[in-house]
Amino acid sequence: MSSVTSQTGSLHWLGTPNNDKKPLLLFLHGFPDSPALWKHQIDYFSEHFQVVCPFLGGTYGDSPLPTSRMRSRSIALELTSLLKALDPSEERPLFIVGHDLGVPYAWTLAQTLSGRLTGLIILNGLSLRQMAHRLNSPNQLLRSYYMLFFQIPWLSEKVLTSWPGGLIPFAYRLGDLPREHQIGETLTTTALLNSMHQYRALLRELPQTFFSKPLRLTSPVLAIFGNEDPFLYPPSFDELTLEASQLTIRILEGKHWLHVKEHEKINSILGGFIHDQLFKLRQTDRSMGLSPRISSAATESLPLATTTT
Amino acid sequence: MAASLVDTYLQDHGVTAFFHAAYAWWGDRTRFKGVKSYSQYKPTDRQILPGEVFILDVAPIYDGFVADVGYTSSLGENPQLTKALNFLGNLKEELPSIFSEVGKGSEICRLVNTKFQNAGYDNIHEKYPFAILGHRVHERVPETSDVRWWHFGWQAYWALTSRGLFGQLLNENFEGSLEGLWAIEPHIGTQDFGAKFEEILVVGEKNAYWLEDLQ
Repeated sequence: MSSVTSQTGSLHWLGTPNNDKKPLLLFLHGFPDSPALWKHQIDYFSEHFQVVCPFLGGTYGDSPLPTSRMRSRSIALELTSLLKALDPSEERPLFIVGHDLGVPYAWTLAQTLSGRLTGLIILNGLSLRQMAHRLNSPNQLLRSYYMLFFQIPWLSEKVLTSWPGGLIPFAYRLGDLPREHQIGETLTTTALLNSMHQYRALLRELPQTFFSKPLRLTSPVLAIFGNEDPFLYPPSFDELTLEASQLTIRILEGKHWLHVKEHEKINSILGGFIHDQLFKLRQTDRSMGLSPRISSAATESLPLATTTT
Repeated sequence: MAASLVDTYLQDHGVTAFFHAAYAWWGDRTRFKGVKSYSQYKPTDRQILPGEVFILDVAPIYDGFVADVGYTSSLGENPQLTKALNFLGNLKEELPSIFSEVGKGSEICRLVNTKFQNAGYDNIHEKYPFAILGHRVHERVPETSDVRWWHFGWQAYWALTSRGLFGQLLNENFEGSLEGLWAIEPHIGTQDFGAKFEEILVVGEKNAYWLEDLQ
């Protein structure tokens, strides 16, 4: 466990110790998860990358967090200060990987970082703007019933805290998360409630986001979705390309927690994408007469980019 | 995005209302090129480019006080901006004595304008609503709700109009006593960019000083 002091307190994270030579991989977890669910990715990437998996939305410890501090831009600012602490010179290649509720945060952070970002990878999740535009789809509304339930004050808290062995394991079963990785019951009540309050903060942002002009990322984006995800149906290219100028979408057999259930396949796809981007970065550095910012070992350790759709 | 991140940062640190929300301008928008109506002052989605000048200007209300601040810098080096900031730095040093010696608001504005012209800069704050060099700020401003219209909080409209609008705005038509707290925001322009600072000036009966110098 590591921590840095962020703008508004301490930010804790799992991963590998700071190493200013290695490219950064920032993994953002979803609900009702913790960074521990990135275990397979930490193991796979830690030899040549600095892997950082922060606790998001008050999931660390036992202190209640105001809902206002869970807005996507608040979290993005927290993560920006984490990145600043890890890489003050801003020269190391940086990839952000988000899953589920980590995706709106990942996307907002990517927009904040703009050209600083080497690549964004999203797993079974959407940006706030994409989600806002989906809420007029009955298909999505039927899958997002829990998000609407979480908006009801008192009742949702009561159900979540008095029935912890019911609701969360139900979500895990639905999303096909292997039993040994179901960590919801180990979260403290406060952490669980903090985590749920993220949905309130994000839903309040949706109306403004709905009418905002899309900010198009210039960094490459890889979107991976399970074709049987019970919480989100896979996006179309048109849906995502409004916010991503270099987009690749991979639809795989599977449900919601692909990075756990299908970790070998997912690691290989992530590795391929990262390899591809790092290779391009080395080429650019060379063509500009700069010494490459990354060792060839980092790229050679990864699989070659797989065929993309 | 930059402007909303400034607002978010302040809100995460306890700010619940704004005199005005954050403005973020860069490139030729820092000298309001192409700005023809008040709505066009608002931040756009244009991305900043290396070397470009940027201005951040925000006025949070905290603990009943309005803290209106403006800041100019550039993304990377910009020698022209360094020169402009030196000019503004010298002006900032002179302003307290100008306020205490000249004493008349209209004359101060004309004097500042002359200084701009002599240094070869355009007067950009003339393009502000009511062409103001500054405006009054007050204590005990309510923070009860964050309702904004055209980027300004209801507290701004209330503070300015309930005390008589023209006595609150420092421009070439200003008459009357200058005593009180002022947010002073001289804004100069070159062909390519604008630059400004904004700080709170405390004006007493016989003296004036920057609030930050109290620390």
